[in-house]
Amino acid sequence: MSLEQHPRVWTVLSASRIGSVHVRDDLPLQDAVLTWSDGSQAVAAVADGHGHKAHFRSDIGSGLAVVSAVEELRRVVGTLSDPEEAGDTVTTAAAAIVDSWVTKVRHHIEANPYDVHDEREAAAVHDPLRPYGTTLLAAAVSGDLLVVLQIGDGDAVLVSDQGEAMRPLPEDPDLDGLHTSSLCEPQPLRALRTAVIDTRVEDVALAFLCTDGFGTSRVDAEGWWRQTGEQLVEFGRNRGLEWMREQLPQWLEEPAQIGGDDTSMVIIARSDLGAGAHERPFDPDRTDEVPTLADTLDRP
Amino acid sequence: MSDRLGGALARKPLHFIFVLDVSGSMMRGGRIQALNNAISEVLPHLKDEARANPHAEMLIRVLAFANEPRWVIEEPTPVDQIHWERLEAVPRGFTELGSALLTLTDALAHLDESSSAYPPAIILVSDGRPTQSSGTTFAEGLQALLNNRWGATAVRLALGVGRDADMHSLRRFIGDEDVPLLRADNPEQLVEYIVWASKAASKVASRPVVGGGGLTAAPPSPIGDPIWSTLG
Repeated sequence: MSLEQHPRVWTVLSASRIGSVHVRDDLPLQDAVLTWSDGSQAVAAVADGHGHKAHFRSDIGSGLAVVSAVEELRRVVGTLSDPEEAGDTVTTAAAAIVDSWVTKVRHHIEANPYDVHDEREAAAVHDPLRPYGTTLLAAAVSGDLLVVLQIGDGDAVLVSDQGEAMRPLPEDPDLDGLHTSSLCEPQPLRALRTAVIDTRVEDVALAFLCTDGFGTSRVDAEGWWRQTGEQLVEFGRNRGLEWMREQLPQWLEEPAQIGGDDTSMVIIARSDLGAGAHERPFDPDRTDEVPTLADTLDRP
Repeated sequence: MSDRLGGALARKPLHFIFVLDVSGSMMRGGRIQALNNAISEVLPHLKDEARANPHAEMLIRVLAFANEPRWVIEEPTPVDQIHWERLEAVPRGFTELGSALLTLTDALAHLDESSSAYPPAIILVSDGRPTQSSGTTFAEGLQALLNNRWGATAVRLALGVGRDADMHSLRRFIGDEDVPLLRADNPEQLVEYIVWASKAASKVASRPVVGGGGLTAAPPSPIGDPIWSTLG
C-alpha cells in the first residue's frame, strides 16, 4: 500500500482564550486564530497582538495577520509537493503575507484615521504600522509536506507517532522574553524563520502552534512543549480528535487565567491518529470556532 | 496521564521593593513616623492587590538607606507574611542614595534570568538631595541600576517628602516623563501617595508584557496643609 495511493488526511483544531489581565484591564483579546482545511490540505495561523500601549490596535493587527497568512498559504498549499522547492515557496509566501498585511493595515487606517488630537494616536502618525504590531506563526500541509513560518514569539512543535516532540524552526536571537520580533518592524522578513518537513521522512502525527501565553507560566519552563506533544498524541490515540476538540478551550483556560496573557493554539493532526479511539464518529464538516474579522474591523 | 495539557502552571513572582530614606532629615516634622504609618497602611492595600491579581505572586522587600543601605526585609516575602517593624531615622544620617541603588542592583542581579518573573516594581521615597560620602554618586548608582536588565525594565516610581526633596534626581530615577512624580507635604499625603504608587505599580508591573498600558490611574489630589514644606 503506497502513500501515493492513500494521501494523508489532516484534521485542524483551534481555540483562543482571553487572558485574565486583559479582562482586569478591560483590554480586548489580542490573539487571533484562523484555519482552513479540505482534508488533504490544511492551513492554520495564530497571531499574538502586542500588549504594549504603543500597539493600541494590535487586536486588529493580529486579526489581519491570520487572514493574510491563510489567504496566501491557501494560494500556494496546492503547489507543495517537492521538498526541494517548498523552501522557496514558503519564503515567497511569507513576503506576500507581509505585503498583504501592510496593505490591509493601511486600508484600516484610511477607514479609521488616527486622531491627531489624541496624544497616543498622534504619535502613531509617524510610524503608522506600529499600533497594529503582532507576531505571526503559520503552517500549511498538503499531503505529505508540511511547512511552517514564523515572525516573533510563540511555539511551533511537531510530534511523532511515539509522542516525541521537536521544534522545527531555528531560534530567533532577538527574542529575550521581554521583546519580540514583529510584523510592524521596518523589515519583518529579517526575522522570518521557516521549516519544510517531509512527513514521509520525518514521522509526524501532529503539529501544534501556540502563542506564548500557553507556555510562559509552566513550572517546567524547558520541557512543557515536549510534555504537551506527548500528551496530545496520547489523547488523540486513546480519546480521539473529537474529544480533543471539546477539551481544547478548557486546556487554554488555565494558562490564560494563571499566566494572565491571551492564549491560543492550533493543532494539525493526522486524521488517522484517533482512528482507534472509542469516540463519537468524527464529523469532518464541523468547523472550529474562530474569531470573525468582522468583529474587529468595525472597531477603531 | 493527567487531562491537564502541558503540565503544572505557576504564578510568576512580582518583586515589589520599597527603597526608603531614613536620613537624619526624616526626623523633622514627624516624617519618619509618617513613613512608618504609610507603610503600615499600604500593606492591607497590597494584600488586596495580591488577591486581585492571582496570576502574580507578590513578594515584598524593603531597603532603607541613610549613611549606608540596609535591608529591612531582605528575603522576598509574601505580603501576607509581612510584620512591619517601625523604622528609625539615623541621626545626622546622610542620603546615600547612589550606594542604595548599587545594593538594589546587586539584589536584582540575583533574580531569575529565565524571564519567569514580572519586571520588578520599585518605589523610592526620599526627602533630601543625594549625598556621596560613601564615594558612590547618585548618577553612578542609577546607571548601574539601568544597566541591569531587571532594573531597566522595572516599574520605577518615586515620592518626594517635603520641600527639600530633590525632585530632579527622583525624576531621573523614574525615567519616564509620563509617570507622575509626587511630593508629599504632610503625613496624610504621604499615606495617600504611597498607597496610590503601590497599587499603580503592582497593576502595571504584573502585566504579561512590558509597558502594557503604562500608569493609567491618576494620582490623588493634594490634601491637607503643606506643613513639611513650611517647616523646611
